[in-house]
Amino acid sequence: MTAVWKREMGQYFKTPAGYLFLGIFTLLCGLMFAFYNIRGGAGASVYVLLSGMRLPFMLIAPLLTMRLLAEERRSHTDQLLLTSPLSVAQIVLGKALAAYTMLLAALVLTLFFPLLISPYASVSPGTTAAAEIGFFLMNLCTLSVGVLMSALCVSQVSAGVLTLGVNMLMYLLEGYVLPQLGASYLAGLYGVLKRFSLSARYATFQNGVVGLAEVVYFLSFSGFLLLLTGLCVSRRRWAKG
Amino acid sequence: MGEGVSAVKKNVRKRWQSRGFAWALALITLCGLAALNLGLEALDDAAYLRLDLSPDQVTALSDRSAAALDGLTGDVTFTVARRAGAQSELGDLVDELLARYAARSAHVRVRVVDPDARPYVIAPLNLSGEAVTDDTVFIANADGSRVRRVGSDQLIYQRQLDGETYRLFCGDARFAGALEALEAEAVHRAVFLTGHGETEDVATLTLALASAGYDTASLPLSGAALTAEDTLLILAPETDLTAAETTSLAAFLDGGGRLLIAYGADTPQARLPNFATLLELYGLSFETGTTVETVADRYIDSPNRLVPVTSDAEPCEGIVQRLIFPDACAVAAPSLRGDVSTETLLTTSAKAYRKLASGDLYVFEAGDASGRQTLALSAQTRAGARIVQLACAAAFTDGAGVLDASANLEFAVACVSWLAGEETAAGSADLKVLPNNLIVFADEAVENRVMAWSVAALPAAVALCGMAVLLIRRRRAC
Repeated sequence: MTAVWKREMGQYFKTPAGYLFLGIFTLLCGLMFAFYNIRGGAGASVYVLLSGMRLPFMLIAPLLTMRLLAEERRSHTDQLLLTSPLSVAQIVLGKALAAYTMLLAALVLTLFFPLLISPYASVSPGTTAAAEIGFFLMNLCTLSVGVLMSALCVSQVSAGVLTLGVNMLMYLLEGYVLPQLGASYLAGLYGVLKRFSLSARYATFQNGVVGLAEVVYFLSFSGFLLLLTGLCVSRRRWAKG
Repeated sequence: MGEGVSAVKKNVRKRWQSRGFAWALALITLCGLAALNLGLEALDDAAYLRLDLSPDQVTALSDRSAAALDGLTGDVTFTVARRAGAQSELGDLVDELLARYAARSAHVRVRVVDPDARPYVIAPLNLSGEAVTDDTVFIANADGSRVRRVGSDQLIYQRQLDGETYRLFCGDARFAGALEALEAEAVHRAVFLTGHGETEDVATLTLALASAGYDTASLPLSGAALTAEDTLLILAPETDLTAAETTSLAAFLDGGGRLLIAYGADTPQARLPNFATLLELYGLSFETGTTVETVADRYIDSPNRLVPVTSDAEPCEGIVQRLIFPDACAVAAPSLRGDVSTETLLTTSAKAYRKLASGDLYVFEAGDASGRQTLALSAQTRAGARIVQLACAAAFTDGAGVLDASANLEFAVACVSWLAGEETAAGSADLKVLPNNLIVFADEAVENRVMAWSVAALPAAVALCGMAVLLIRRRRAC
């Protein structure tokens, strides 16, 4: 698994892809921080910054995941990988962990903002840490969708578009359809569906509170997606014999 | 052995090739994960499995609320009024905190009710008939005979200090006060008098009193309808009582009423003869001038920010931290009535003086009153009236900036408790007054500079780093 992870990390940093992702992410964060937090009156709250970054992150997440498995299939290197002594779980986890590491690197960079603002505001380390942990966990799910789509597609572009589509669909359902349900006679259904909403789960992190139920939910959500990815890859492995 | 392994591999291969097996495995895992999540949620409801990393522990239980919850003898229902689909940060905080209450005490029930969809649930709780906004919380005992209402506006404590607005979720203080009031034999009301230019800068004191279980209100004398259960607070009046109001207040006190009255060095005493007349009825008076300390450990920062000497009398009991009285005058009991007894609560050192002459405040001059000055005293009549007279109103206002660093709030609440005839002095140690996350720049140039850094610094660093790595790689490849 470490070998796969190292190989993927090398791919990120030996090509412009990783820098492009980090550059775009930090630029969007900077803009969001400047106009939401500094000018928009949101204050030194990192939660506000990161919750505003959910949509932009969805747009750039395919940069990290679309290549992972689709490119292997397109260039037929998947045959080498699948016939290697590595198990499917090691392959999938190695690749997913590489994407997660990039997310972690991006989040570490966002710590620059509270540091930058700390001479002018009271920045709470605990609340900042909770917001960062929550954002990381929530976006494990976003990236896991990307890993699954990459396993399903041969073309990187298709994988990227599908990742974006599925994530956007979830985002729109959570942000626009669910509240409509809440205001209608289907309020009971809203109560049930809200439990599955990534945004609603992330909202519990905003006050500096890290809930075990939320952590397990995010981990099980992304874990299940990785299991589906593993099943796809396994089928292909045995099919190719 | 080799044949066995080969057989297993073949078997696995066959199974994986079967689409049904993969789907079944996925379905079983999904069910397992769903069960795990549901179980954890149930466990979380029962035993709050959360880590509160916030600096002010907004959803953590204070010692006071924990004690109130542990001391519950009957069921208590928290009804949160919230319209369907309404979602707010305040609502999340309320839910979070009430989840902790429910986890702490088996007597606590929490329900969310849409006041538009189920008005018949809210109506019996909303005794005041005020409009019910989202996240208004009604706290009722088991048979609904006692109900406390905490409006959504009361859940946020807000004050201005040095031009900045400080906001803080104060649900725990409010709910703890409401729980105490539900269990108390009688609920006392603390009424801040208005209509005479009294200071309105008392958000923190109001919250401290509410958290101690008092009903609080700011009312003019005409609308107050004072009863013997009420404590009237008059802080730094600017204009005088009318003759009718003086009579009315005297009648209130003669009937066993309770009064806390505070002036300051800048209170225009000459313009308040009726207030003076009212106090003279009980042999009390305020002295003009600014009290100044000369003993270094009896003041902070400057000699007119006094650190009073506390007595052993009842409202001062348990006050272990220092009090800070900025810009105080002095109080006196020059001609006590026979049925009135007084206790000196706070004094200066014997080397203080009260500035009466018009020279430099910090220089004692001829004409100034030298010697120990009385800064607070309590008086009690045989008929049951109680008065606390304080020489410094600023000590209890938000703007003076002394509440965070002193025991002033604790002392004020203790005074009100004594006035209300309660045995134990109620402290306000659980009240956490912290700045929020406002960003305050010295000027626009600094703001623009920080904005530029926030937008450009990281992408530029990443781009430079990327270019450097790629160039090095290319050079090596060459």
